Amino acid sequence: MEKVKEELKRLLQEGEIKGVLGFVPSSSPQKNRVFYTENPDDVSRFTVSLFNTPNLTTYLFRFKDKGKIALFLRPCEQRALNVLISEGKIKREDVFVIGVPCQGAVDPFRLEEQVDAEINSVEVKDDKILVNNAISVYIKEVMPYSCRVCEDVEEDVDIKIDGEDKRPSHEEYSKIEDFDKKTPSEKWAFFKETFERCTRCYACREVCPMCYCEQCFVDSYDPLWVEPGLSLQDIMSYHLIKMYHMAGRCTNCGACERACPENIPLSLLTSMLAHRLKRDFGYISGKNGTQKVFLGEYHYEDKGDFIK
Amino acid sequence: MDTKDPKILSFLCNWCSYAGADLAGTSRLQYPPNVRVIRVPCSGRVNPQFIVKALRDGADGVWISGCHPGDCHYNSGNYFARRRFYIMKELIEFVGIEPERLTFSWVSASEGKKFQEMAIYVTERVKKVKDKKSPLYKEI
Repeated sequence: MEKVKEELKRLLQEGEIKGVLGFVPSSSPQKNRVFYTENPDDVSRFTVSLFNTPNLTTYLFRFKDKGKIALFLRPCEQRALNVLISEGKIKREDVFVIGVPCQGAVDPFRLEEQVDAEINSVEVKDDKILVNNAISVYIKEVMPYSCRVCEDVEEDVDIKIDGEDKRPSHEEYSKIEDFDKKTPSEKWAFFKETFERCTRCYACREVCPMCYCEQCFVDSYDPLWVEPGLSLQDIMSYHLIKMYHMAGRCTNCGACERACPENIPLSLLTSMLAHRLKRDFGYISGKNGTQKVFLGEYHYEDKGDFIK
Repeated sequence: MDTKDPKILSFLCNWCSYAGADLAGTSRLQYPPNVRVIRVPCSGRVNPQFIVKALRDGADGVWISGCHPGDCHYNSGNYFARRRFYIMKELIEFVGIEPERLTFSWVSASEGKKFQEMAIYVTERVKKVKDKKSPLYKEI
């Protein structure tokens, strides 16, 4: 990490990169703050930890045409960048990628819910987090499901932080396969219970690097895809259509779930998309920057047995 | 027709399935009146969001039909549509909406008989779950 910071400082001073985007500790220890700097002296403040919540590629759109920006990216976030590159939204030469050894990412709201007290300090100890020097919580329990089923990326980084890549174990989508065995009414009951809490604050949309549309379908009045209001039907319509737009683009980084103040298990839906595309099409979104977008291409031998 | 009978919204592609429906009509093949047809230029015109919107607004089932693979009037519309429908079908089933409510088919302009059979099949399928409304349906 120190070596990388030295290098970033040098690059900033020599003007090779315009700025650095990363995380610095904030007043809440369970979530670090996004921080952008063009000052070489600020580079030492950056931190890499489990508590870096959002996906930094989302912020790249704010720095369009500003010059080369360096940013810290986990493997899933590198895949998100690859998707944006293959969609022509961002140029690879405008970005300086700092590869981060990933340990997963903690959902701050879920941690708050588990601890049920004000969080003053957090400390990572093996597979547990020690909160306020008193309560210990398993990391696995406060992580989005997507962190347990993440896929590998064909690495294309400019500089890499040394460190062990200890991503949580790969579970091979067993939870999704178990969920598939339920009956429709059981499934709907589960979604009713969890998604009823949705207040449609659209935090999941704002934090998503793939949601860059100038006008979102939920803001459209004609056609009115989703009516305003908090009925379960409208909430589910919103999430269904949003997930459809995520197909083959979502890299299952889990940022939406970590941003959700109601702890809705959104990554169950995104993991399901990843599972289906991998199982039936052998497609892993954002594997590299040259792969075509899933819905933008077709093969003659695509799966078609569901059509009579 | 009983008001309790299911309403099925169907999107038929202009060049194949809609012509297939025409053939079924001119051949005097009877098919259930539950099927309400919207003619679209191509199955690729059908945005899968239509499915969500239809179920949300009161359709009991949705049937989408287009040209067989390789027969598309616009060369590749149905190939793109196939991938989109796959995603939407998986999502709809995953959240617990009955899979019977959603049917896709390829019907060509010469398959009047197949159109009739499909219309009967779709109606019977939706009738199986008709005793309760779609979970996505919101009464006004």
